[in-house]
Amino acid sequence: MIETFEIMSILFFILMIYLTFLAYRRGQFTKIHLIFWYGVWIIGIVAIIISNKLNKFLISLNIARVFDLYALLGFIFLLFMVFHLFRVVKNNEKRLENLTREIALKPLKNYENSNFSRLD
Amino acid sequence: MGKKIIAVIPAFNEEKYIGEVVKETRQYVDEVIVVDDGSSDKTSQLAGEFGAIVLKHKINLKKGAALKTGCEGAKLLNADIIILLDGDGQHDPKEIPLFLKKLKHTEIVFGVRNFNKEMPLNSRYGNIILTTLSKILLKNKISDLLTGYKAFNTRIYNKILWDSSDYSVETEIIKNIKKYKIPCSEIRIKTIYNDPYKGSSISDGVNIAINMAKWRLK
Repeated sequence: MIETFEIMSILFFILMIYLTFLAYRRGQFTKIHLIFWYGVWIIGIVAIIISNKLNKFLISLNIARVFDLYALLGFIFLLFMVFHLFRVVKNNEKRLENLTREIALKPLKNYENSNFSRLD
Repeated sequence: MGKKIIAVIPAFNEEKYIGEVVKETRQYVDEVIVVDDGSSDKTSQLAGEFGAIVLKHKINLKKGAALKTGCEGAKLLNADIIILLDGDGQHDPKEIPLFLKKLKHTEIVFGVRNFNKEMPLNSRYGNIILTTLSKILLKNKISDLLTGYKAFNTRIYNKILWDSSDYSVETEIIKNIKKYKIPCSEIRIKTIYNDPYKGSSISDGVNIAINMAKWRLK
């Protein structure tokens, strides 16, 4: 029998599927992003539905409950995402800095043969 | 033919002091570049009116990034010597000739301050702690880690070039000097604090300490 927590989890994943679709329709996600995030949410739903059938597998891993396994996997996934986002933010910071610098230096690049204004 | 000397002044909302700093500095150098780091006041306008070449950052990137833009600009203008000083009146342009004199015998000159009562309490102890820490971790002999007043020959720019976009820039320059064994000297400069609440904060100090540890481990 499905428990309340499991129903809440499935509803959460359905909501995330809807939000992912919305992001795709608004052009924020590409088709690859859509497929990746659909995959993540669908795996979540399937994992909850088949949770009762995982008991034998859990014993071999020394894990008491199936939700402990999901919590562990979720934590690993979160750590990966934090690492990935950290890299993305750092890259974007650098790109933004370089772009800002390029714009700032543009008038100076024509300094020698132009009427570059000191008054900006 | 004499060497071309360019002063680079990063500035963020410095309309109160920038005009005077530019005016004074122009007496000792060939060009003054002011990098307006996303100011919302009249910093750019005033710096331009007083004769500086103004490079504008559309957004605030912090001191290290502003200095890099200014030095890249100085390179484009074929500078032989670059002088870095702050736009808030902390550094007296009258001391520029002292830097230039000393620079004849070395590659980079640091203006070091006395950690006396002229310096606000938090800055004084922050400086003492960080300078001591840098001597231990980075094994350098510079007696004022956070000094922003310095002059160097442009030919060493690529060696001292920094990644830090924030206040860690001063420490990273010192780290690079040690790494490439670049000859350096110090001169004593005045300790001037017009606004004790401006400049680096405690969190900047923590960030610098973390960066020093990171560079030490590299």
